[in-house]
Amino acid sequence: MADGEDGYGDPEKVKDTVKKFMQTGAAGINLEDQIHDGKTKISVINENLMAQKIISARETAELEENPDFIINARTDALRSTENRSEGLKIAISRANQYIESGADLVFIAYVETIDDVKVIKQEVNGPISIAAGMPYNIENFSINDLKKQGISRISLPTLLILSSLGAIRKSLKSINEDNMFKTAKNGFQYPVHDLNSL
Amino acid sequence: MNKSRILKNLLNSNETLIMPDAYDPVSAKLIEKEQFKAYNVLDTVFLLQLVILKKMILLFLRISNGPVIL
Repeated sequence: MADGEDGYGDPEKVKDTVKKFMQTGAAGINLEDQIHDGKTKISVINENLMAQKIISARETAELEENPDFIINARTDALRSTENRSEGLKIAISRANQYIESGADLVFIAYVETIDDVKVIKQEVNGPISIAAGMPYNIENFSINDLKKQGISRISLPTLLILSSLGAIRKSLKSINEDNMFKTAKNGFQYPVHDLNSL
Repeated sequence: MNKSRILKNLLNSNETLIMPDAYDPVSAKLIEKEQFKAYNVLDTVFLLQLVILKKMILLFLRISNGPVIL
């Protein structure tokens, strides 16, 4: 499965995006309702427009004879308002609309607490995806906490890339501190023989 | 069975599916080697693929203050 941003355009353009994703061999696509306008505050497109994009994606998958192609609909609505509980209500409402429009599962972004997860699980009428290990929730719940709530899918969007960058920073610092060999010996370098056998 | 059907079956099972996000092909292979059943490809990967080389170089120059040798 792969991130498809906003589908790279309107519902008509989404058809083309889905076709291209299927051609690459991706098993599914994440479609999101966030508007990428470079502003700090998160804004989302009209929910009916997003629903139309999901319908387009689903129709395309069926027309292309890949009805199992997974559509994971992401909503960023939770952070689209100043009031967090209001944002959560909007996100849940959108999640249900996206499921009704043909999404296989829904991903509500920016979930910070296990209480948020419980409310979402109770209110959303379909499979749920939650991002864990994020800077804003990494200390608030574990993988097992999410499993216990019956969450269908757990994504880990930033965990690996931030861990890699952290290791790069450690290595760079070790060069400046002239203890590079000691750092390497301590085992956080990935073994070359393992890399060759990947 | 195609990959979409496999993923659908995993999502529809009673178990929670843990899908780490790969940010390059090597990280994808590592995820696979660690026995995860599926992974997601981060949008940054697509941006790297879509951006042509000249734009990529310009991006390096824009975000980096250091002297860059091309």
